[in-house]
Amino acid sequence: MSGYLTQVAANLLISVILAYAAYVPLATGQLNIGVAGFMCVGAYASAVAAAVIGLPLFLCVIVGMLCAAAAGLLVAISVARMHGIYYSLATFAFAEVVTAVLVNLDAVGGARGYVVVGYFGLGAIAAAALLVVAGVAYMMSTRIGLAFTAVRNDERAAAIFGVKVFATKVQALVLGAALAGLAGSLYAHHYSYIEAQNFNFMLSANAVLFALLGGVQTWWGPLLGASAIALIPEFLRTSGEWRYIGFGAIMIVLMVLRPEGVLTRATTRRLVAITRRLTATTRRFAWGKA
Amino acid sequence: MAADNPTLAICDLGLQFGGLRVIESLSIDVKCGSRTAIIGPNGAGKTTLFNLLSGVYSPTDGSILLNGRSLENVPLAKRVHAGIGRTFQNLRLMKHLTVLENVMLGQHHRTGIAGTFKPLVSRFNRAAVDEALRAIQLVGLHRDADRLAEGLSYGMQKRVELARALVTKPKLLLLDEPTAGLNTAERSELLGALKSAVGSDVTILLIEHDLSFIGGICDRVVVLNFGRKIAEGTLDEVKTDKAVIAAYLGTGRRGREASFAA
Repeated sequence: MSGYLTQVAANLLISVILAYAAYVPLATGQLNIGVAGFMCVGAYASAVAAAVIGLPLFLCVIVGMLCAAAAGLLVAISVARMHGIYYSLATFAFAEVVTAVLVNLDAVGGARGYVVVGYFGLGAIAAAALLVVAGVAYMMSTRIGLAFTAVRNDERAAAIFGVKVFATKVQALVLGAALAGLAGSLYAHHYSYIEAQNFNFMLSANAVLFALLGGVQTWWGPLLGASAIALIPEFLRTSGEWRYIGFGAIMIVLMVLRPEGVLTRATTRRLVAITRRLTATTRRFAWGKA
Repeated sequence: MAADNPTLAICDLGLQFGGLRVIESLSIDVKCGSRTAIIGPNGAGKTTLFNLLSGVYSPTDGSILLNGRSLENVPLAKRVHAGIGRTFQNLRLMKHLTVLENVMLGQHHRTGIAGTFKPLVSRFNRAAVDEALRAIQLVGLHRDADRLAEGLSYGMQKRVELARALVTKPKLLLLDEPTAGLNTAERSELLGALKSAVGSDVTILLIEHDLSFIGGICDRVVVLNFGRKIAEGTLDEVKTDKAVIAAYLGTGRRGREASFAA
């Protein structure tokens, strides 16, 4: 695979993980726009664990995830009772604080950035992305997913049926933070260099966009959203700077036509029904020919 | 069933929002297995009473005892453990979940750790799925178990809410205007579903405006007005009660001439 394709694939896979980092809290109705902050914690924790402690790469990833999850727990306990714009602003502020601290922390290179030891190839990133997609898909098919959906739809009704709303929201934010930490760790060990300034608001906004554009009603949504947003600009590359205008136009049209995301539950069921009908027709045709 | 001790004892209950007293010195005893209707004009405090019982609001005065146990320190998410199941005046279904998934939410409080990690609708979770399907069948929606709630008619959504409340295995079932928005056929279907689906060990408290529906299921009626109890008795007794007629129809000449019987 060419270097260009490898980078596009790595970017896509890390975007997929980041999409699920935003999706899991969104599944409970929490708009976390500090995803980049948790990714930054994961990236630096993993990089420091590799360079200073000399842990094996696999354990460095675990350290990155655990540190991001711990940060997620602290944030969640403080903000999970907030709602709407106040919640989102609090998560945004967290990400800004993380960046500001790391930019001024000479021990990890400060504004010069930090060179990361240990390398993750495309195979490892692909395996991690696959595990994340499969894990989140499974979780959303269980009672945990039902509780998440209930809390997103109607917190009071969920509580009346015994769902512990605060605990559910904390779990979702912590899990989302751990996934962002995983994305950060993989990013650090793939690109071998990290700079706190790169984990900025645009990155968080993109992560949220991946999930919202794809749709949060199904676990397919973030996968579709991340794939589309990561790949469409690449397909439009030949059109130079115009590609961003084309990409923006596609976004606006989708938001107008599909405000609940491209893949809603009803759309997914219709697609499945159409596929089944087509398969049955094809089979009948094949048997008829035979 | 039907022990003389009340299942639900509401004693001197009060709720105040700032300077507004929404419920005032309200005392009601509801016997085990009975079916009691709560009626009253708009703003009488009927839904507020249900919200106090289910833990949405905390009373400012008085007490609520369910089977002799005070609900004072039982939080919202624990009331269902205490045996309180409810439906809502304005539908509160999860619109893009299926009927089956919505009903299975009612089992949430009874699910252990092992059940939490099983795929919800799968053969690994057969007991829970079968129990939810039985409740769906009782309300007559067995052909629609796999449909999304958003695609159902209003009457069907009301029945999904009933099935969801039933799988909580309530001791006290609170039904908030179950027939609102339903046509005559749907009302009689719901009445049939209630009679067949709710066991005699379940106590029902029902907010309703349709007196014929109340007559078909309830043995007692409590009338509220401005947060106070103004009458209590059988349907026939409260229909001729002067205070009730005055609350609904006013105290002018027309009010005196009119009555519920008319």
